[in-house]
Amino acid sequence: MSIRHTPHEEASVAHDHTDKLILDGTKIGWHLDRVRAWERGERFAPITIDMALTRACNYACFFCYAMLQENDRQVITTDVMYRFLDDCAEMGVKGISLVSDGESTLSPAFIPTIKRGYELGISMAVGTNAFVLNRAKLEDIMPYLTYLRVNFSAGTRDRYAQIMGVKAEWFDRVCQNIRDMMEIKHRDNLETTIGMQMVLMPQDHDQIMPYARLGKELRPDYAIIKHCSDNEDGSLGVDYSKYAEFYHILREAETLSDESYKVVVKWSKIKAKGGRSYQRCYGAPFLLQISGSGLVAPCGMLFNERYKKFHIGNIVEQSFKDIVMSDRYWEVMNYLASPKFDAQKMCGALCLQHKVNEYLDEYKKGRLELVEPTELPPMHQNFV
Amino acid sequence: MTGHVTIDYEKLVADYVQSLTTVLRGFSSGAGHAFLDMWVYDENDVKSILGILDAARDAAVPSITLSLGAATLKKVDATKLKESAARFGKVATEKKGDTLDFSVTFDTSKSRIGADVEKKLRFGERAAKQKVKLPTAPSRGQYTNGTINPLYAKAVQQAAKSRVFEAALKEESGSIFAQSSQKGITLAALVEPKKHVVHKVGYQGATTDTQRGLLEGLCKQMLGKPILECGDHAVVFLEFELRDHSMPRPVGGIVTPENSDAMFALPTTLVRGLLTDYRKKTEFKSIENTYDLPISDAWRKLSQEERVKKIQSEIERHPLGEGVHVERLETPKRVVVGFREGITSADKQGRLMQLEDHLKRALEPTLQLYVEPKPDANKIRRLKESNQ
Repeated sequence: MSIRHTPHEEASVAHDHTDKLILDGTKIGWHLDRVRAWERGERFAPITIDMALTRACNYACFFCYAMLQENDRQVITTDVMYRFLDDCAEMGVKGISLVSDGESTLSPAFIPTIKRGYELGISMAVGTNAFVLNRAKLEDIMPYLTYLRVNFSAGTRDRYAQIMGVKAEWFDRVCQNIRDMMEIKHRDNLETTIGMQMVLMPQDHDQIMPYARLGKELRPDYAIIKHCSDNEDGSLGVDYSKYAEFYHILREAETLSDESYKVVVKWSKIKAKGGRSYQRCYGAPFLLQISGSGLVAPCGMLFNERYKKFHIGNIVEQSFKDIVMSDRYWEVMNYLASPKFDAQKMCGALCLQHKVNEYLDEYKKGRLELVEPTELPPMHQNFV
Repeated sequence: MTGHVTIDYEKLVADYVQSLTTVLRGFSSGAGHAFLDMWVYDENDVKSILGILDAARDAAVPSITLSLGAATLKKVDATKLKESAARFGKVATEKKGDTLDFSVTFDTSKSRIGADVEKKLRFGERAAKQKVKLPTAPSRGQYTNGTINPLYAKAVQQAAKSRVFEAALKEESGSIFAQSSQKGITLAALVEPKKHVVHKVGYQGATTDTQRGLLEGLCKQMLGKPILECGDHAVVFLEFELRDHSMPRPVGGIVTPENSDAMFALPTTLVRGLLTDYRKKTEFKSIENTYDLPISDAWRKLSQEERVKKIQSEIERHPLGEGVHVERLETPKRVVVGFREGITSADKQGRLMQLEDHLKRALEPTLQLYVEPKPDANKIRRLKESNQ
């Protein structure tokens, strides 16, 4: 593995790098070329970009963090995405996940983006509620995806409707779509990983076992259970101390795993209770986020207009290559890495870059050594 | 679903596209028809129309009429569309002035047909252009043989003159004496063992002004801070403090003490060694660092009103402060500002960071600038808040 801890008695926060499919850790150890470029003070392209093609969503989940991320919206067309993807390929972006901020499947640019990205040699992935992904669309996109993850934050029909803010019958539609995904995957022997993901609010813990059982019936490759992120003001009211009260249920859910279906609890983040071990943010240039408005900002937690000083540019108006090469981009990234910034006080809880930040911070503090990996790379390597 | 459905296609599309930028949650392409929740507009109108037919057939709509306007008809070959739609059932068209009523009566006996699946592309088939090499900045190698990067020279020389911390420390009861040495230079500190805070610090053995300047700066950074914070960040703060911020950064990418000048290796080794020595002499093993730089005494003593007045005054003194005003102080550190009409989004972005730097230097190092947030758009949550 690419990490060797400096021997001392202190417990380290960076771990879980050896699983074939890393769902609760970071894969940045397999991208040491970028880490070295960062160390040398060079400008470099992100390894992974997490983005959305729109801020709109046909669901209305109570816990939706993206609702706190409002900013000036622009339309991301297929042409905008083609230019963006060309720039990404040219600069060496390795993976793009259409995940955060909005439901990308609603955008007319969705399917063309996946195909063009793949064609350019970029690993493409999707996180979605999967409601509009009917059989025809799945046939169309699945061969091009590294992973397809379905956000599914309940295990029963009525609670699904309640938690995710939709009609109860939508539950049936999405279940059928997941069945179709698995059928297509097995029929065509696709490598696309199919996952389900539950964002767990403490008050919805009654849904843990129904969700894990539903997953066992639908049989995606994995079913994740993860914490809910909150902003710096705690607007969503997530009480992180409550998670400990149902650790036993989470463990019981894990026991439903079998050879081809894994229930994965994101323990490291759940047990972190919303806290951070680091104060500087080094992860954003490696794992960048782009809003469904086209806004380029270091991360989703800084999308809101409130954080205007961290906003860099917009891919609808500017070339992405120009943005990444700009002084402004590196001015913002330097702010996050400087004494001016304190991620413990100026950010929300458990961001996307959290595990990358832990890793790089440990390294900067002299608690980790970087060693070239000798093992086979993990799955989904390009999604750090 | 029962009964014939009629849809104005162009209005449907216009509403859909608009909703993508105006609706946040509960997005519906609907036009009042639940089956359209499954439909996604496609920039290719033929695919888009076939998508509507697909969704209608799935929802057991018996028949549908799409009213296609002149703008759509310019982009669509009506004959080919008719041929493609025939797979859904019986197709009929009727010209009405500039528009065409395109009707389909679904044939329930026909099996469900998937979308036309294009030939699968090969991964990376479209050859990417030559990879761009992003510009690099001077490497630290330039400043390894006793030459100081000009970015730091003035501040290092200035710090070297003070010699406030160049002294031998004596052990004191009630404090832990920790020290570390490197190339004949010793850094020592007295640490209060309950909160692990450095309350005295000094160094000996410096032979050059550069070493002296660095160690004076380092000691200043350490005094009054937890020993763990010193080990973790004192040199990060030192580099930032000594840098001339009116000049371009030492590297093009992310600045660290290690990549900006080789001279920072000495204070890094010394301060980390000091922490290691302290750990050896105590049971202190924690790596949990939550140190938060407190506001200065001078800033603490001011009333909220006085703080706002001083901040506004400093903003007005700065060339980029024109059209910027203080809205409120959320905390003694957090300032919310507003902009006059007409200042562009890009202009705001750049100004905020520079104004914040100015306020930190002129008034209080912990100040942070924000603008008024766009509110949480979740109606259910906001309703709950208003009921509380």
